[in-house]
Amino acid sequence: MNRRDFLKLAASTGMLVTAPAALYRTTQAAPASDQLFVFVHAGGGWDPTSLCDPKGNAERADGRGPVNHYFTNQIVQLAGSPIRYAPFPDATLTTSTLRTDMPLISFDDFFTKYGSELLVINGIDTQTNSHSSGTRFVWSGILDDMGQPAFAALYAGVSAPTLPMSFLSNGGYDVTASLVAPTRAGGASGFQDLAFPNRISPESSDSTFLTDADYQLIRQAKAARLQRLIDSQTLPQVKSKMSQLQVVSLGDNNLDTLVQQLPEGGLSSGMKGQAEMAAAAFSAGLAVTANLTADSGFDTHGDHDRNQTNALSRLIDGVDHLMNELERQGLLDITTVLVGSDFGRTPYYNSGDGKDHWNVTSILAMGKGITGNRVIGATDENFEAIALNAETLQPDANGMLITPGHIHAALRRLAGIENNSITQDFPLEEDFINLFSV
Amino acid sequence: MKKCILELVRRDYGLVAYMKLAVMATFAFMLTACGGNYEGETDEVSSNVALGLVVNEMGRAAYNEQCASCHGSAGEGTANGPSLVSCASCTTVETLAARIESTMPLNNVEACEDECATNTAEFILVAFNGLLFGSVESLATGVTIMSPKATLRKASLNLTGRLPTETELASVDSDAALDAQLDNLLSEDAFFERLIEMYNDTLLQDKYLGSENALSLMRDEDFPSRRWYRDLGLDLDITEERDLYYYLRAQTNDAIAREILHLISYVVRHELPFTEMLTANYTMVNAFSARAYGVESQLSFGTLTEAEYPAYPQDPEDFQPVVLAAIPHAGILTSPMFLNRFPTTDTNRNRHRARMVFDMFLDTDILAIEGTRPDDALDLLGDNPTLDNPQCTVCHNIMDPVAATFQNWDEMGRYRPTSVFGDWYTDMLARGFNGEVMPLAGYADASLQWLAQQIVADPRFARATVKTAFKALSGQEPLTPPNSEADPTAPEWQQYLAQQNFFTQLQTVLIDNNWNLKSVLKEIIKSAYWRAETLTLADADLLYSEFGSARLLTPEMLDRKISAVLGQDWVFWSDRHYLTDPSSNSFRQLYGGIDSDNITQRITEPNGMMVAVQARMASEMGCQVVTRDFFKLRAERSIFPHISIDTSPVDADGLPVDSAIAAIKQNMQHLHWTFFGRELEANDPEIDATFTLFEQIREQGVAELAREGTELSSSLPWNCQLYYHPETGDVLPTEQRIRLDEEYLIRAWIGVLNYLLADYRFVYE
Repeated sequence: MNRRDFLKLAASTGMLVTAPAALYRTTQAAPASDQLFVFVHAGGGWDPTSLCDPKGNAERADGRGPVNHYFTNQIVQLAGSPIRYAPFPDATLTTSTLRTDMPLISFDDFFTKYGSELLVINGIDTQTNSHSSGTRFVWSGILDDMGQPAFAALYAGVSAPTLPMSFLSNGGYDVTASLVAPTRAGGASGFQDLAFPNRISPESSDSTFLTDADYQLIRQAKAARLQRLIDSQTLPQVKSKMSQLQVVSLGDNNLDTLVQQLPEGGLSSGMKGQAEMAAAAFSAGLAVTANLTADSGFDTHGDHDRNQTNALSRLIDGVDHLMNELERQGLLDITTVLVGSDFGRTPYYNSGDGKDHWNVTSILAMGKGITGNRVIGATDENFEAIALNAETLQPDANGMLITPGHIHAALRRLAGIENNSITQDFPLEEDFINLFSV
Repeated sequence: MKKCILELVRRDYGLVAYMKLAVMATFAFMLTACGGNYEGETDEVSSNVALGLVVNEMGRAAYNEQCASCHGSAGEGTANGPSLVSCASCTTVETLAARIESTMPLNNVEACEDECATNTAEFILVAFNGLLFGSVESLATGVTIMSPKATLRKASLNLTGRLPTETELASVDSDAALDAQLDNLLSEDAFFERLIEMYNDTLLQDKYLGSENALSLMRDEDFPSRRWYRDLGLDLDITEERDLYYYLRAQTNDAIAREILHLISYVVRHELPFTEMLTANYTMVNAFSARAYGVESQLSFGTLTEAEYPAYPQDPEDFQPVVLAAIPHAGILTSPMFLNRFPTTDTNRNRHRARMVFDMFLDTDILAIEGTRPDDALDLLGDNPTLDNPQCTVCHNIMDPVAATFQNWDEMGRYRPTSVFGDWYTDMLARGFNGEVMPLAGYADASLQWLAQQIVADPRFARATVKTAFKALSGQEPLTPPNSEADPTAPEWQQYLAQQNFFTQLQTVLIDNNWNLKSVLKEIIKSAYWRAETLTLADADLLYSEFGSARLLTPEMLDRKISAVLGQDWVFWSDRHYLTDPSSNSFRQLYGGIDSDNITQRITEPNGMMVAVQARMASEMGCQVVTRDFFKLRAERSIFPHISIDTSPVDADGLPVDSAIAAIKQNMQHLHWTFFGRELEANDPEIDATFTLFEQIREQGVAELAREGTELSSSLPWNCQLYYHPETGDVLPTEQRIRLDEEYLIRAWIGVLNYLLADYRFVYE
C-alpha cells in the first residue's frame, strides 16, 4: 500500500482503528530496498563543454568566438572509451578559491577511476533556459509545472512511503506531490539527541528522563490518542494532517541505527556531508532516495572559466566522495547515481567573459542498471543538440532530440514503477528508449 | 431562504440585481462565519451536496472556444491577452458583457454579441472572479466554527506567540468583542515581528542577517559611512570595546538587511495603505543604519531605559522613515536589499526582477504562461529572439517592459540614473506595463516609481496581497484552477469558486478599508476557512477540503508556543533556541525551516526526523518545567495552577481522595485548554485518558520503588531536579530544592506533559 492510498484509507474508512499495531515495524540495519537512488544537482546551470562534452577553442563560424578557451587539442579521450572530457583547468584558474589543503580529485583521476561504469548522456534538450523550469524538467521529466513530484519523491512514495526519512532532500527540485514527506537532514549535528529521545545524554543509556516502562506507557497513550483524534475528526483537511502525522510516527524511527552508520568525527560540510548522510540513511534502512545539491557557483554569467571550473571541480570531488561513501556502506551495487543540472551554458562568451543560459545539457549516470563506458547523444561544434535515432541512438536527421523526459522514462523502467498507478498520474510525453543499459 | 430569494430576484429583476444580491449573500456568508453559530448545525445531509454553485455552461463553451487561447484556460492571461482575474471590466455582468460585445474577440468582434457576450461575461465573473451565483451560504452551514474564545487563542498564538490573558478571554463573549481583541493583537509589537517573519517567507531578506552580509552589498562611493563603526577607533583586543563593536555592527547590518520588511511593518503598524509597500517615497532606518546612510542628523530616535551600551542608548527597534537624498524611492523595489536578493546580470537585463514582481505583486507566474514550447532547441541565435521569435515573445512581451523599468538600478542594486549613466538597451522593449509605454517626462530617472503606481492600480495587486496574507496566516496554498474541462458542478470546481469568491471579498474589504492590511487579516481569522471546527455534512470531503486550517507549526511558531504555554524556552547552551537558532546545532532546518538563502521553501508535512524532534522536545521540556512551575506561587503558575506538588489521588492507605482527584482533573482541563485550545468537561473521555496515564505511571513507579532490590531511585533524574532558581539562576538553599519524588507524583506529571507536548494538537494549530 502506498502512502497516498494509505492516507485515503485512513481518512475514509477508519482503517487505523485496528491497524496501527500491525503497521509497527522494526527497522533493521540493512537497506530497505535493493534499488536506491541518489540525484546530484549542480544548481545554476553547469557547462557540459567544460566537462563531459568538450568543444575546444575553435572559432565559431558566426563570429561569436570559441565555445571554450582551452585548446581543442587539450581535450582528453579516455583510453579505450568513447568518453571525452575537458582538460583539467590550469592551476591559475583554481588557486584563488579552491582550498589547497584539501586537494580535489582531478578530471583525469575522476574519469579514469569511473570511466568503466560511467554513462555520459550529451545533447539533452531541456527546452528552456529558466532555472526553475529546467530544474523541474531535469529531475521530474515534465517541463510544465503540474505539481509533479521529483523522481526521487515519486520512487520513495511508491516504494517506501512509510520509512522515517524515505526521501532525503537537500534542495534542488524536491516537490513531492504529497506522496512522501521530504526530510532535510542536512548537516544537523543533533542526531544523537534525536536518536535517543528519552536519554538525558545520548551517550548514556543509564540516564533517562523517564524509565523505559514509563516511556512505553506514554508512547502507547500517544498513539491511542492520535487514533481517537482521527476517528472523531470530520474536517477532511485536519483528518488528513492527523493521518500524515500518524504515518510518520508509526513504530521506531531507528535513528540510532543511522547514528551508528555516520562517519566518526561527524559529518563533512557541503555536498560531502550530504553524501555521508545519504549513504548512512540508506545503510540504516531509513531512506531509499536522496537529492544532493552541489556547492554553488555554476551560474557563471561572469568570469566563466574560473568560476565554472571551480564549481565543476568541487562537484566531481563530491561525486567521488559519494561513491566512496556508498562503497564504504556496501551500497554500490544497489544504488543508481545521476548527476545533472538545470540546463547548460551558452557556446560562446558574453562581454564579461561569462556564459549565459543555454537549453542543451548533459547527465552523468553510474551504478545499478547503468552500462558504463558509453556516451549517448551528441551536440555539434556549436553545442547544439543533434537528433538521434530512437533505436540505434546514433545521429539521425529524422530522429528525435533527447529530453529529460526520455531520461525519466528510462528511470521509471529501471525502478520498476512505470506501470504503477501513482506513476501514471504523472504521465511523460516521451516514450521509453533504452538509454541506461545494453 | 437566501438561495430562494436570489433565484426569485434573478427571475424577476434581471441579472444585475441578482448579482448585487449575490454579493450581499456572499458577505452574509462571511458574516455567518463570523457571526456565531459556533454550536453548529447538527443536521446531517445525506449525500451529493447540491450547493447550487453554477457556472454558465454556454458561457464556458464560448469562452473555451473564443477566449481561452489568448486569456488562458483559467483566465490567467497570456502574452496575447491580459488576465481576466479582477480585470478592469470585471465588475458587473453588464459592464463586462458590453466590453466583450464591443471589442472581443479581437479578430472578429461580431462573433460574440448579445446572449453570447452575457453568457461569457457571467462565466468569467463566476469562474475567475468568484462572483458566485449560487447559495454560497450553504457552505457555511456545513461546518461548525470555533467559539470566539478559541478563535482568540488560536489567533493570539499565531499573531503574537502568546496565550490570551484571562481578562481577554473573558471579554470575547461575541464576535464583536472578538473583533476588538483582534485589533489589540494586531497592534502589539510581537505581531509586527510575526509580520516580518510572514513576509520574509516571500522576500527572503533574512539571508543578509549577521556579520556584514547586508553592508557588503553596498558600496563606499554611494554610502561612504556604511561601516561607520569601523571608524570609531575601537580596539578589538579589549573585550568591552570588541563587544561594543560587534553590537554596533549587528544593529547596523541587520537593520539594513531587514529594511524592506520594516517598511512593510511600518505601513501596517500605522495603518497606511498597503500600496505604500511599493509606492513609499522613503526607506526605513534605525539609529544605527541611519548612520550607515548618513542621515542620522535628520532623525531622533527613542532610547532604551537600560541601555547595554550607554554611549549608544538608541532603541534598535525604533525604525523611522527617511528620504535618502537624490534617491527616487519606490518602496521596497528600490532597496538595495530587494535588488540584490533578486539579482540580475548584463544579459539577464532585470528580467529576473521583473518575473519576481509579477509573481509577488501581480499574482502572475510568468513561467506558467509561456505557452507551447518548441520541439527543437530554442532559436537563441536569431537577431533578436526576445523581440522576434514568437516562442520567446510570448513571455518577453510581458516581462521585458517591466524589466526595463529597473534600468536606473544596476546589478549591484545601486542607483544609476539613465541621464547620468547612459541609455538602456535599444534591442529590448521600452519601459512599460500592461501594454502601456512609460512616459519619459518625469520618470526617465525614476521609472520604478512609475511602475509602482501602475502595479498598485492593477486589480491583481489587491489579489496578490490577499492571497499572500491568506497563505502567510493559514499556511495553506491558495487553490489552483481546476481542469477547465472538468464538470463545473464537481466539488473541486465548486470549492475553487468558493475560495475565489472569498479572495474577491477580501479584496473588497482591503480596498474599502483604505488598504489596511489588518482588515484582511481579521477577515481571514473570522472566516470559516480559519475557524471551521467540524464538518456536519456527509460525503462532502472534497468540497470542504480547504476548511479549518490545520498547520504544522513552523519552527518559529512552535518555539514561541513552547515558551508561551510552558513559560520556559527550549534552548541549548543556556540561551540558544533549538528551533530557531541559525547555527547547525539547532533543529531549524531539520524541522522544516528556511535559511532564506539556499533553503527557501518550508516543509509543511512532517517526516520521521521532525517527529523525532517533537519527541526530544517533549522529553526535555516535560522534564524541566514540572519542578520549575511547582516552585512558583500557585497564582503565578502556567502549568499547575490547581494543584500542589504533593497533591496525590490517593491517601496513605492507597484509597482514592475525591477532592484531590477533582483538582488533578481540573488541572488537566487547564492543560487541554492551554496546550490544545480545547475546553473539556471534567468527565470528558480525553480528561479520563490523561488521568489514566497519570495513574498508570504513578502506580507503576510506586510499585517499582517498593520492590525489593529495585534500582529505581526516589530522586528525580538529575536533569529534572530543581537546583537553581528559575529566574535568577542562583543556587537554591537546600530546603527549596526539588529533588525527591517518593510518591512518584512529579514523574507522573512529567509523563503527562511528555504525552501532551508531542500531541497533534500541540504541534499543529
